[in-house]
Amino acid sequence: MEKLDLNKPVEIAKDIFWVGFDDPNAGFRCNPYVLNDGEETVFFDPGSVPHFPIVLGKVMRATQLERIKHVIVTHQDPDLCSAIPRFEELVEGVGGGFDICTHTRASVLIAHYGTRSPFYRVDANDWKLTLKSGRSLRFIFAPFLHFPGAFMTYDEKSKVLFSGDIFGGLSFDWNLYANEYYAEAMKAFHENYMPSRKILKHTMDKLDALDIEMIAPQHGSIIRKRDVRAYIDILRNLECGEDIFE
Amino acid sequence: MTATYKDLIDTVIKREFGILGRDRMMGILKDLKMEVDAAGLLKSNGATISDLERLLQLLSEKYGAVAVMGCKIAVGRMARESNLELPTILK
Repeated sequence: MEKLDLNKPVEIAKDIFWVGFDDPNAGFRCNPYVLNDGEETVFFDPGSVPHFPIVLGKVMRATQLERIKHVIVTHQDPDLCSAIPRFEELVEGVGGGFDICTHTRASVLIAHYGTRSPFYRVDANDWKLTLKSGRSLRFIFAPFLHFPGAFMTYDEKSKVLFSGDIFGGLSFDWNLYANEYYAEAMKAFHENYMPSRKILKHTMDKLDALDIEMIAPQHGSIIRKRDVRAYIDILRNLECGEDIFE
Repeated sequence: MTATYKDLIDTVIKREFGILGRDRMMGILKDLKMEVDAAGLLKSNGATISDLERLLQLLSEKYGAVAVMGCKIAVGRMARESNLELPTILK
């Protein structure tokens, strides 16, 4: 298998780049992604303030700042979106601007980071975003996983599912792509952060109808097509959250 | 089926193969002189609560809260189902 250079943006699908970094001391890694569509860039879960300098460097290698038109934020946790105000300053500094795509419930909290950009509320926009080219990003509501307004994003062109916290993992032994042990890392994360098997199943059932080429989570490792259905089934049946009281 | 402390330790090992990676976890087991087979299962059937505690303590010392958190719920459920007492670090 080709050796990946994780010091650069990694193209995980055509024009879609992982722009995170491998911190060997962290058990809780974060994965921001950039999707380029012509002159328009979509930035997924841009990351935290401590990660900002490294992520910024990779974003600038994957696109031009003024092309960033949409920042998709699956929920309001600081690890995935506290750097937004810093990106706003830079993008506005080069004459650009973006909207923050998120659920209404998250938007009222994200504003507390001091963001200035307008919100594109996915729940008020028919759960989709159409790019200038006509490319469609579909938002899949994943209530209470783990935030009440959590959602995933399905790119209909590449068939990549940007899953936010869902399918994430706790891993010191991190690999960009899931290895044979990743299921245990994923279970560890979900047992600790997700509310119940019933709620997980509700969202996993929605994925059955999708043709998914790849799952790109915000924590942990990327899941390739050959493993997608197995990982969905693991989460569909995982006891977590309130199940531990039974 | 009733679980034993060996089963609880096997569960920790399997889980930590995913979190820490196989090499790091095998290093921990070597430090504790716990022998496992190729699949990562404890060879001895006589494990006790103090063996489980030693394992979790070392995981905590070397890798911190994430390593303990990652197996706490799975091990706790198994222990509860078999009425096994848990060491303080897993309570």
